[in-house]
Amino acid sequence: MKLLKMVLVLALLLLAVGVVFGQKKTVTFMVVEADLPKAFVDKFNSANPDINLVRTEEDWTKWTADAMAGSASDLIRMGTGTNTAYFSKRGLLYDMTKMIQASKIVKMDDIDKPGNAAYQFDGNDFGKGAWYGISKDYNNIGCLTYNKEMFKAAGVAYLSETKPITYYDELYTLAKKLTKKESSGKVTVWGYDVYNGWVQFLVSDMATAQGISFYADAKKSVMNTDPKLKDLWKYWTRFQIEDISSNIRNPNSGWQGSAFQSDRIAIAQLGYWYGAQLQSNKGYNEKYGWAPTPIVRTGAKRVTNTLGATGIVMYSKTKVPKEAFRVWEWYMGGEYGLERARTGWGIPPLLSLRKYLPEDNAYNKSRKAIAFDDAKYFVSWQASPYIMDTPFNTAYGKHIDDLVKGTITADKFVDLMFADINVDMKAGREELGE
Amino acid sequence: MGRIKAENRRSFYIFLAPWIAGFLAFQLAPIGWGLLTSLTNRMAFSIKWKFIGLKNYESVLTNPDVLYAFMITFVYALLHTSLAILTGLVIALLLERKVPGRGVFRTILYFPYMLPLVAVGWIFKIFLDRDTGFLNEVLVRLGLLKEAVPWLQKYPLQSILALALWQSGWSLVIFLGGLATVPNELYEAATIDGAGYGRRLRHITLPLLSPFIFFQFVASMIYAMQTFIQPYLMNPKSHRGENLFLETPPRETFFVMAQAYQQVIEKHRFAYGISMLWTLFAVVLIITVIFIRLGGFVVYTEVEEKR
Amino acid sequence: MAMLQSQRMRLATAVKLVVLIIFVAIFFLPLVSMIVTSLKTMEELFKYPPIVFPRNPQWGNYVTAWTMVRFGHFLVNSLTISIFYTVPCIFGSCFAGYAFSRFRVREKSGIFMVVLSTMMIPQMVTIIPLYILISKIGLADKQWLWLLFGLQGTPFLIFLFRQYFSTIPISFEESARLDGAGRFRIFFAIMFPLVQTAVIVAGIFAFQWSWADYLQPVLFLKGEKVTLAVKLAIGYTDQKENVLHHIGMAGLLYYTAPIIIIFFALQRRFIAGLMSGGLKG
Repeated sequence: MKLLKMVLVLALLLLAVGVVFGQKKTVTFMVVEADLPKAFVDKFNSANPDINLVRTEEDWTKWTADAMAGSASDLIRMGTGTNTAYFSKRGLLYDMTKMIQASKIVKMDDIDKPGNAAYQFDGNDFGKGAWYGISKDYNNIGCLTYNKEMFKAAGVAYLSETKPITYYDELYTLAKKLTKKESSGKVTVWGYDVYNGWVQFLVSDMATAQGISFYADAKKSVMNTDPKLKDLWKYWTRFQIEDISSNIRNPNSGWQGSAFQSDRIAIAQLGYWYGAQLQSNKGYNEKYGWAPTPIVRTGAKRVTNTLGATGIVMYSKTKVPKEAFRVWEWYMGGEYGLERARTGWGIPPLLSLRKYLPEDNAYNKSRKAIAFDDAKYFVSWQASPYIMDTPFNTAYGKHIDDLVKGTITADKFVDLMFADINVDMKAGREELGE
Repeated sequence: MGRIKAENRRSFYIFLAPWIAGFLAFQLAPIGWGLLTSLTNRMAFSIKWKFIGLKNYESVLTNPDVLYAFMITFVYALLHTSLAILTGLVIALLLERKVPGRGVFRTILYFPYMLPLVAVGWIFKIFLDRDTGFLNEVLVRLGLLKEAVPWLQKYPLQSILALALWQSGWSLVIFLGGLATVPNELYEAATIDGAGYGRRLRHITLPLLSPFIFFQFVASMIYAMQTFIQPYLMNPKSHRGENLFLETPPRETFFVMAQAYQQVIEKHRFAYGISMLWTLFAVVLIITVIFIRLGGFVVYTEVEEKR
Repeated sequence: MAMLQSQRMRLATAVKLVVLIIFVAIFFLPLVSMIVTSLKTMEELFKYPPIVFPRNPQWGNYVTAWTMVRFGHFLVNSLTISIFYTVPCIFGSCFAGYAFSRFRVREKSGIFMVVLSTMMIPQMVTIIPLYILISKIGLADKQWLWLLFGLQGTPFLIFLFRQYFSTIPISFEESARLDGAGRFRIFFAIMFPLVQTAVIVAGIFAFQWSWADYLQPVLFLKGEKVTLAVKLAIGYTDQKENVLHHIGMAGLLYYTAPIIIIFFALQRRFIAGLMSGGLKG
């Protein structure tokens, strides 16, 4: 009887110890399902019984409310990498440097430094200081994808895969030539479609190439009113004013990506990753061509951008940093990382994964070659710590209709846009207690 | 007498207890916190913030974009309310007497109201598209239009109104109820006296329906002035799934609450956005009180008298 | 004379029918658009010149719409949340409506105005601070929170019940009181059964609202616990964030089906309920 009692007590003790130590730690990961399908969540959970990985929907409202409540998700997908500046300054990101240095899966010297520069920030510049994460893959968003059939029909030569064309004025002239309109004036094919969401990155590159700063002050708290910079913004609006790009008169029912895929745009500027999306079209290998990111004008410096790329960061106030890091490692370098590299949706963040990128046909070979070529000229975009990149989109989109309709001039457009952004930057300074 | 009064009061509060508890826990505390925060310059991710008194409210009331928004929100609410009520009334009158298939008509016309707003917004965005939308296809095929119209771009306010009218089934049902309360004898007597349909409508139906019209008017104005998601759902510029509040809706549809939403969620200006919302509340309250005074509608005394 | 009148009536009915059919046809258009879109392929969505009727109806979209977002799982979540909300809401609103209708208390009209004015408070004003508070005490991400949300009732339904109770003569209660019955017994045994149609109306509205609600579930819940409203908002986008309109339209039909089913089942009583009881005031 006494023996039985002892065994029982021992068993209970062991159970208690097991419960305490075997406590599953929950790691929440805020990411869209497309970037982390349930199948993979389940795989991770069965392979790591001491962690309960929970995916939560990416939603700005929830993210904002959570941050205010101090309970944001442990891991967060950051759509535009350069926003790490904004978030780290507000104390929302976890410094992962030490953990990465000790990691066996995501090794520090395996990290593609230029491609991931946006995730390293020292308070002033990218590419230096603490690591807040890395990209899940990155891309040369300035490279061009064009429809070879449309070029042929218009009698235009294919673009070189090694020598970039110029913004002033080759891209403009080409796009104008390739634009097709009906007799009523309705546009059936846009030569080039400006993507409101990414114009600021292209303008930033053009400005960097000429040594112009976006901002009037060293602190980067006010927009620069240098006419040369304003000109760069006006360059892009020209496409929309002249109906070469979609606008309020000729709206695009989808977005640049889907319209190009439906043969409504001749030249798209989206990046290496777009090549994977186009593979769902029959005959893509012969139909689409690739060209490197354009330069400002003949003889100008080559400057390209990754817009920071989409990546995963960790919440500064996470209660489970070690477990969250394990998830992060698995996502970046483990099985799921391999999977992504094989499908060619972007250049992998780790050098060792590069060899998995598809090269099975001319199309894949050329886009890969151009991506690595462009990558040599990567420069981070000119971010200000006071705002994210979104005020640029919002401001641009807010006034562009008036410009296209002709109720304001291009100069006024830029002034209004800058005024809006300055308001946001002022709010940003208050946010940082300045 | 006194004991009955006390017992009355006790019972009153016992039955009201769930509401009171909910109000204190879920509304009063957040409301108080929100009001206090609106007096600071706190942003969503602020490292430090300070008390700034009524400065936010000052900014709200002197910002031309916001003032324009108040005006356009009011206009929209007025249009939404009057058109919805008119539609509901007309259809209710059509369905009043014996019409074959009455139940079917009723269901079909009420049905869109049951659909969640985000679903309806998505449906209409596709429906009204210039190139791929069904409406243009039908109108052009029928010869009513020469060429496709970019509804969302050219007529953003009307597009949102169309959505609201599609969902006006709530008004129809309330009017059906109201019409049922009109005693038949009144119509019969009027007909015998030689009154035609128009006169019966003007002198019997409408006056007896006036409380229903009034109730709908007030409730709908309150609701419509708080419209915020439709401008984003129907925004011709937003295409990709993710961030709905990234693109600013066209000026004519950038209602106050939609702006406040963008301020809080997109620009993270929390205190400023909250003060915009409280200003909206104050405006809605004032408008409601004015309308109630104008309509001579006093919510409770009629009931008291009925007892 | 009599002949002319019946002729006139038949003409009037015919005209009414025509007008109604036109109305209904117009009302149907967006629905047709929805169904037509749901049967297209991805390419047909953005082709120019536009293809309005799909070449080969893609019935498979309806299967994809279900599997792509694991509809079944989130359907259960939505049902749970809506039932958790609706049942307490009916009772909470009913109690409060009864209180406002029956008891002569001096401050009653003042409190009623407060109730009505809460309708004017934009949801966001209360919801974000509330979420922050609840999150701080660690109660977030619990589906049973909706039981509490519902218990308070909602101003519109409180008003509805108040009107209904007002149409019931006092004599009912007074005779029961004379017999010595307590307040609660009177309520549950007599009053509550008399407002059954109001209960049905309240139930349908409360269910509809909680079914469609996006903000509360997206804030308070996460991961596998969210509702259909949250899931479908961005569930139908592919890897590169293209919105899949065709699959989405099919998904929306699934999403609205439960509400339609409930409405059809209770339709007659619902309409009858709104029609009687009077929202006169």
